[in-house]
Amino acid sequence: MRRRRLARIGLYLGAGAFLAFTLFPVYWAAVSSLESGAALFTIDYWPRDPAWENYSDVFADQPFGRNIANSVIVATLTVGLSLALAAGAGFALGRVSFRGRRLMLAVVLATTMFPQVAVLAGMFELIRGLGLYNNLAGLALSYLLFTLPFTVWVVTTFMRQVPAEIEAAALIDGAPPWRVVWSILLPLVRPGLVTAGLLAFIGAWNEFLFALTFTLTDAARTVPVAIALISGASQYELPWGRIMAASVIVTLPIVALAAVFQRRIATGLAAGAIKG
Amino acid sequence: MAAITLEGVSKRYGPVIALDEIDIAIPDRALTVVVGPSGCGKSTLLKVIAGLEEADSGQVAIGGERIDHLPPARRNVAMVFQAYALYPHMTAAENMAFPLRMAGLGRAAIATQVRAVAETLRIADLLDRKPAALSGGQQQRVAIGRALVRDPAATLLDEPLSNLDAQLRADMRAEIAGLQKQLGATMVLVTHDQIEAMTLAERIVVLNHGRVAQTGGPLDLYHRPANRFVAGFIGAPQMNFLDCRITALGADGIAVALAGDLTLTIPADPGAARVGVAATLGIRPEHLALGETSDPSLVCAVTRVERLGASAHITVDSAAGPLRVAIAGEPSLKEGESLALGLAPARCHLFDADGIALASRTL
Ligand SMILES: Nc1ncnc2c1ncn2[C@@H]1O[C@H](COP(=O)(O)OP(=O)(O)OP(=O)(O)O)[C@@H](O)[C@H]1O
Ligand SMILES: [Mg+2]
Repeated sequence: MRRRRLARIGLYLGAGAFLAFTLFPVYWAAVSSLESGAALFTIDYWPRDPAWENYSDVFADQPFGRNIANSVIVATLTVGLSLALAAGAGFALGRVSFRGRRLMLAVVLATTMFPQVAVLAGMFELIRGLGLYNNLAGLALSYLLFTLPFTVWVVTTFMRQVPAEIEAAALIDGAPPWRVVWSILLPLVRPGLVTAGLLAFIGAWNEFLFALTFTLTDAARTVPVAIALISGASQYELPWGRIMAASVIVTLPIVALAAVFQRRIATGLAAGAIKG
Repeated sequence: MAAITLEGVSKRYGPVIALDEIDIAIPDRALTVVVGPSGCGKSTLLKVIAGLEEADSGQVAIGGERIDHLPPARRNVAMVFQAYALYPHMTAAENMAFPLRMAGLGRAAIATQVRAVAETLRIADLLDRKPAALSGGQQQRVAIGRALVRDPAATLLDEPLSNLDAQLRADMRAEIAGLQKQLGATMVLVTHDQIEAMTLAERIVVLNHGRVAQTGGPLDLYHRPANRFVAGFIGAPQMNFLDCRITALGADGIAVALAGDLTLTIPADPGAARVGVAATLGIRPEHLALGETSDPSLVCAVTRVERLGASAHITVDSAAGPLRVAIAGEPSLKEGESLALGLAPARCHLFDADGIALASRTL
């Protein structure tokens, strides 16, 4: 009895410490976003004089609304392309047996081993060659490099878990192959699609290096680059307040997405979607 | 509804020969049971008929039309799987509607047909539930409903009862048989349980190692097994087999000598049998007589008595080897007791060295 209670207290303490560790930076960002100028360097756990103008300034000094729209477009495009390609690839790699399947899956995974900087120059040439420099579509295309291996892997794994008999039943019930994929397999692997799509979205939303390299104008920039390029009145002043305000703004959609879809993932799994 | 015929159908998986030159004719509007031990190719046979697997050679026809080049969707064959294979994300109604939707039926027609089948199967009140919220027996009904709803040329059932408990299995067995009669459907049911085969079938196909061991009605197989495999597979408890030697071929049958100085003259056609060759004598436990008999007999000692109430299984040791005896009622036998065991020659089966039955004249 006593030991159970001790264990429980320990659990809460551990969870509390973990939460504090992960949430502190967010809290700090929120607090700093409401401080102006020099107040930043005095340690305050709650701003006495909240500087709300940081938030409006973000939109006034640069086309931040446009940048957010760009990020939404790029991330959505990335997720859409990734999932469409991963659905097809996942079906082929997970449910069709052909020679070289394992090798292909291994190659798909191996592409994640290359660090982004290593492919930067080559990717730049590709993007320019395709005439997609300073273009949101080019950015989305380049993001497939890191989203696809993961999405393909996840969708393939989920596809594999669908019992062969379910696919056979659909074929016998008169469904043409595309219909088997669309009406039976994709709904059953939806938790996988949602998880992979969510992570692809977050990856695309936060990506900095490609976004910096493959865009030129303010109007084509995505949020992470725009935030990094926020500058103060003089060379010597870094407008922390505004940078933090911008960061908080762009974090909110991600938090909302995760909250909405996490419940879907959980219910999808709990409903035993895969169980035959 | 149509008869299914397979001619020379073979299928290999790498080195494994799953089906070996199968020739069978499955009658129209009847329940045919395919039975055989695990791995003998039963599921493969159904998959070849349904079009899920392509045969390496041979022909499959339904109602006289070859279908082996058609995709599963165009064969008009329905299938019920061992694990039911219901679509987990659809309700029972949606599951049963799926084949009709694929056939392009209208919404109203689908609804009426699904409801009619659901009522026949007594699952009308479960239509809105997803498979996860159904019991095994209910899932089984939905799976059968999904197969029957589109009135297929034939319905294939792959071990449909093996996931159910004993009581439910007996109920569903009766129900499937009833449904088949009521609808006049052509059904092929696969099982590894010979009792299920005997109770359900109008016709049984016994498979062994990818070959047809014998085809026939339940009692044909019981009384006239074509070979030692069928003799041992059909009937419980299993037939006793004793080594013997052919000593004479006469007008009244084949004389064989067993260990323990017993000679029997079995009323069977000698056919290709020759004097002096080894053979196997088979006799069912229920055909052995324990105690004083007028039949040729062996002296035996009781080694084990299993009382089942209505009947008892007794294991005895004799000079010809151990034997199992089944008798009705509750015998007052003790282990170690010594008795006479009568072998009625007319009840004996004789198999040659290759396990092929020598035709009996009386059975
Ligand atoms: N996809 C496959 N790949 C390789 N071998 C297979 C495959 N499917 C079946 N086999 C083999 O073919 C043989 C027949 O298999 P099948 O599934 O038809 O047996 P079964 O009679 O249905 O057995 P059970 O009663 O266990 O279901 C077996 O030896 C099996 O191992
Ligand atoms: Mg099987």
